[in-house]
Amino acid sequence: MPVIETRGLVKHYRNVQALKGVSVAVEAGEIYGLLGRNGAGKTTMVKILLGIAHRTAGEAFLLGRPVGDPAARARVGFLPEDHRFPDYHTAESALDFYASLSGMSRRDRRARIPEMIERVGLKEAARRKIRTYSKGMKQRLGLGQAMIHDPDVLFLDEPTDGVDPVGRKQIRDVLVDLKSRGKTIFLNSHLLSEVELVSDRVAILELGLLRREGDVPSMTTAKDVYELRFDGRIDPLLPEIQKRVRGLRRIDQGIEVDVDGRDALNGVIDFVRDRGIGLVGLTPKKQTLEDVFLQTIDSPPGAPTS
Amino acid sequence: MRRYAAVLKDSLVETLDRKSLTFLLAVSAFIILLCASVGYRELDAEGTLRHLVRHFNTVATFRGMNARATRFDVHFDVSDVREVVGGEGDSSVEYECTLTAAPVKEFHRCVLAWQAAKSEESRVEGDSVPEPGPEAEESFVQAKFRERFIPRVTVRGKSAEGDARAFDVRIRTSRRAVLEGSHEISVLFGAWSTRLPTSVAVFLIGVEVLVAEYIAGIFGLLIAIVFTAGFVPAMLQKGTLDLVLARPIRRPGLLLTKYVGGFLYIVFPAVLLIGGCWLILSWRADFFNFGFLASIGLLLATFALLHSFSVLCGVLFRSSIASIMMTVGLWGVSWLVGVVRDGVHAFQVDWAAPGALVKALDALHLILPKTRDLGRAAVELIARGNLGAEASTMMAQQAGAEALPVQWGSCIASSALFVAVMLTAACWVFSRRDY
Repeated sequence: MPVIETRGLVKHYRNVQALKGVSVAVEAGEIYGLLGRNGAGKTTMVKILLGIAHRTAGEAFLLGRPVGDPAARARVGFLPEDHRFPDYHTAESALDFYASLSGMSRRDRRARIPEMIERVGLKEAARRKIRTYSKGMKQRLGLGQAMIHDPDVLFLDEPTDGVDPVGRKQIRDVLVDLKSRGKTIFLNSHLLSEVELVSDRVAILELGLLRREGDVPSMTTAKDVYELRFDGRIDPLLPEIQKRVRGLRRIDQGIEVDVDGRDALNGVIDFVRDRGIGLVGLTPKKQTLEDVFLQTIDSPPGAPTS
Repeated sequence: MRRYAAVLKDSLVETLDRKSLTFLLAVSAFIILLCASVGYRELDAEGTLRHLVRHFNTVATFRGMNARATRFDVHFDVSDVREVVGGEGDSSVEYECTLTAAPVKEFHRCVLAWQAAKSEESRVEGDSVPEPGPEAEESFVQAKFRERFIPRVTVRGKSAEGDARAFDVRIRTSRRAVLEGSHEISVLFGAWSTRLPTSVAVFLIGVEVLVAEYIAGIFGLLIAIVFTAGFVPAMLQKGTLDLVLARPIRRPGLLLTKYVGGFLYIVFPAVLLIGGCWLILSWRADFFNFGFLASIGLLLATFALLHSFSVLCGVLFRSSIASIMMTVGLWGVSWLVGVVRDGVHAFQVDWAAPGALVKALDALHLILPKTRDLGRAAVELIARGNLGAEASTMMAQQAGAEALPVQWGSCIASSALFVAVMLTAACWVFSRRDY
């Protein structure tokens, strides 16, 4: 059973259709990245899942319970984008407050709070008012409050926003650690390289529509594009190779070809080897998640994406 | 339960972080200190009565909402003051004395003016002054004692002595403090002193009303409204509310707990101020007026009314400024409606107000929070606690001129209904909104 599931989720804000029938299913233990431009509907979707906003139509479930049921949120942690802690708290008192809201007993809180403060690197500032914190410190505290009650599902909206590269690495390590402990993470981020590094699956949301969804390796592998490297001079053969492929580009020590299936690829290799030049390397061409994202949002809805 | 306790604790942390609470506590401590600086020196009965009757030559006339005082050139004095019943430690005491008024002609003018004021007739002018009659004279003297909060007085006219009119007066005080308790008071630990025109009991009413009705009831409430108006809008800030709503807590429960948290903001200073003043004043005057202590409840009820509206405004507008302005506005409007309604009923003596106007004012009074009525109820409670039922009725009449009496039952019921309606509306809006 999926941990997070939406079926035909629709959300209207007066004249704006924020979500136009989005269906996703996130399994336990996955890191699921939701990508999209500003206004694509990512935050709306998370807010509906957490009962912060109400859906207009469709269905949504969290841990098997309909969203809006407070009990469903007992095992969920959330780090909102642009979160703002009441500045009269210290890190300690804020964590105590959010842990209590999640229903943790005093004994559990006493044990868990110092551990969490240590984990997010706020030990030195634990008893200082939050109003004195830098943005990065607030972000780390945000992560701490999301994890304080050891939730099974974490929703993280731009978790590395405002954090320096070292801090970003620390947050990535935390995510990987959580995944290794079987936690499910729903990640909203603009930093595509980060999402690519940690996510198992990603979905691309554009203007309220789910445009693409899949696991990261398959999405970032370009279909039928290969890099071929040879042990001899290939340049004289390029005009003949051009006739056998859809696209050809010269690269260092070889060529990049866009072919029409595996037979066409073998035809190119055979043609070169027949002329006494040996194949020393063949690599399926990889795309970055950013390439995939840009291709997806630039193509019209319904168009095939490579 | 743990979750709601956490919200309450959060409100407490928020309250303690604000300097306003420190300010309120400091003001409360200062006022308690002022009360502690008050001292009393007991006066003898003759001196007290002589001081008291000096003011009998003034007649107040009420025309609708207007009051006018006329002073007559007549001199009142007492002699042969004797204590006939009671003694040291007794709760009631009786005195006999002779009261004289001179000159007779001016005394008669004064009595006739008093009679005219009572019957709404015009005052007698000119040199030819008719004699008001012995009964009217006795009633006048009796009424003058009642005005000074001495209700149980018997007056019997004696024969004229020269150009003076004499009366045998027998005074039974409702409590020792009313007459025998007349004192010279000093404040700021003796830096300034004055002789009381009436008794310690009446002086205490003045101080207690000042503390409960004006310092706590206006100044304190205003500060509490200003500082608690930000509680809900602060919680509803983008980025702050998300952190809370993502937790397993129901929205109506969250909002109601926030309301209680704001309410608790005023409980501590109110209990400190009124409770502290009550303790100090009671200790210094050797009399415990539980009516004053009970006025804490009415003060809190007034804040509960206004705070419920403030919470609704906070949910609707998410702005502290809007909440403050609308809450203070509602407070002002409900006070104004109460005053105009009382005025219209008072004017009915001379002018029949249109039925629609009276109905509209009654309807508004019914709907709006009864902040003014609660304030008047507190005054009544304080007066009753100090002087007993009879004297408090007199005082209420004097203070409120022709104000309609406070209906305790409907006042409390409609206030509770107002709070319930405001909070239900606030919870409904809060539960339906997207954040």
